[in-house]
Amino acid sequence: MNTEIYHIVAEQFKGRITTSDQQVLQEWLDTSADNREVYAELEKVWKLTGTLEQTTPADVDSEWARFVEQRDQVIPLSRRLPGTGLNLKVFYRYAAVLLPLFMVSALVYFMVSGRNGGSDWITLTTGTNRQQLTLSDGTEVWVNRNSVFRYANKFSSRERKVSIKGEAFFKVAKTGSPFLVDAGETQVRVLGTRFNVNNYKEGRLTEVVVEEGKVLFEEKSRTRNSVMLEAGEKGTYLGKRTPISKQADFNNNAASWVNQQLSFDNVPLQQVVQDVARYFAVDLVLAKELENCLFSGEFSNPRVSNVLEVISLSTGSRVRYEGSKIYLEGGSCAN
Amino acid sequence: MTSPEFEKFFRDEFNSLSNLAFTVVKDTDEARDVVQQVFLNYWQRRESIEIRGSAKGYFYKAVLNTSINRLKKSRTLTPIEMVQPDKYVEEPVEEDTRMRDHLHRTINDLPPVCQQVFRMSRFTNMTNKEIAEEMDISVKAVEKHITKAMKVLREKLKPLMANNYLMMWLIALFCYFWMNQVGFLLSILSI
Repeated sequence: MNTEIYHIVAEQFKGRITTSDQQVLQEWLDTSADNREVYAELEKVWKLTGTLEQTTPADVDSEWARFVEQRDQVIPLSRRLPGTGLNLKVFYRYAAVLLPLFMVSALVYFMVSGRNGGSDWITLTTGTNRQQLTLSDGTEVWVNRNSVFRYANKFSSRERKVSIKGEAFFKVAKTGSPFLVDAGETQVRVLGTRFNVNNYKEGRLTEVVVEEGKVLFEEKSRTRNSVMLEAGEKGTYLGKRTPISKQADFNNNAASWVNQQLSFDNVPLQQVVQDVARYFAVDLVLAKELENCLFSGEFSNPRVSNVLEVISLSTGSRVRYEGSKIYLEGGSCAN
Repeated sequence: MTSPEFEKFFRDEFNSLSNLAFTVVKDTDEARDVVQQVFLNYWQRRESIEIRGSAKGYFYKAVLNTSINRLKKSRTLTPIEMVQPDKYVEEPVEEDTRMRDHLHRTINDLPPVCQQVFRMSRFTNMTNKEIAEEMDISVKAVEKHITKAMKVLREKLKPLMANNYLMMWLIALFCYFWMNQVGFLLSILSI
């Protein structure tokens, strides 16, 4: 018999071959060794197809439960009432799902916010006075005039985060977790170091000067815009889309307001006046011809009148008070 | 089907149906989803559905159609490279797995009716007569389809199986020579 009878072979493999088919198969096998080889190969294929079957039976009870649940969610078309926009049953079902979800997320939120030691943020606003404080991790902070400093009364173990609007000097305690200073559009990331942050100008200008150690100064919304600052370096952020620049900080007076010290070593008067104006928070105007005069001097716990007196003596200029402004006029560098 | 009948049918047939789906989609969870979907479809439209042959036949065919459609969809939606890494590569690629993949593909490449008939014959306990009824073809045609499927499978898998034997022989030969070599080295050392 030459026609292919593989379906009979299949019946044989399934073990339900009829006696008449059995005879046909036997004849076919007896006809040639080729047929017997084909039979052997078919058996192998048949067995192999068995490996495509699933090995783990499903739990019928839970599958039935799942079906019932899905079935009840589907409202048969005939039972859907016309005009009822809100089906209460459906509403309760959604509520049953969403309510626990909402509760869990609320719980998670409180747990996460509780990471800060369950503590609230404390806001310190300085007016005309400077303030010094020690945070829970031992970090010392000096907050300059007219600044807003926010911190948690207990830090989380992962990150210590504070924020400053205005100016502050930090002596960060080394604890191993990063210390993050949020400064408007920028932030400063450090481990343990001393540095000054100044962002009085509401985001547009932020300056960071490092006295000791190393800090990462970066734009918050674009952390690629960042510089690594080391001791004696100053980073300046001028606004979005401007790369943060880095210069050496010559005058060492960034933290002058902390130490109550001003020191100048051959510094152009223009810079001196800037530092003095900042230190005393006064509006100081310098005559143009004096801008590039070099000035040296040290003041400890100074008063504005003393400093101005020394400058006017060394340049032969006059000090004139007019309204809220102070003018330095006349004189020359030669004096 | 009344409700208790339906539940009994569901419980009795769920595993054989999901087994059938599994041979197509090759994923246990997806296979179960397919069966669930088929039962849901039936439930939703039970008033308008008229089962001509046996209920079993109807569900087997529906499960086959649904899983084949799903497989097609997932194939068009997910690029092969995306699917392969976690589905095939992570488990050790043995000869067996390769064979199985090959087999799976070969069956999937069979013409639709031939494929369905073969799967029903191989993976369910339906008789050829039942298959014929369900597929609305003659018993002769069912036999032809089964024969064709087996023929194609044998032809497609033969090279792989032969390859296997060839490899076995090569390894045996290699071992034989290697052991000879070791014996040879040992004899040198003992001298």
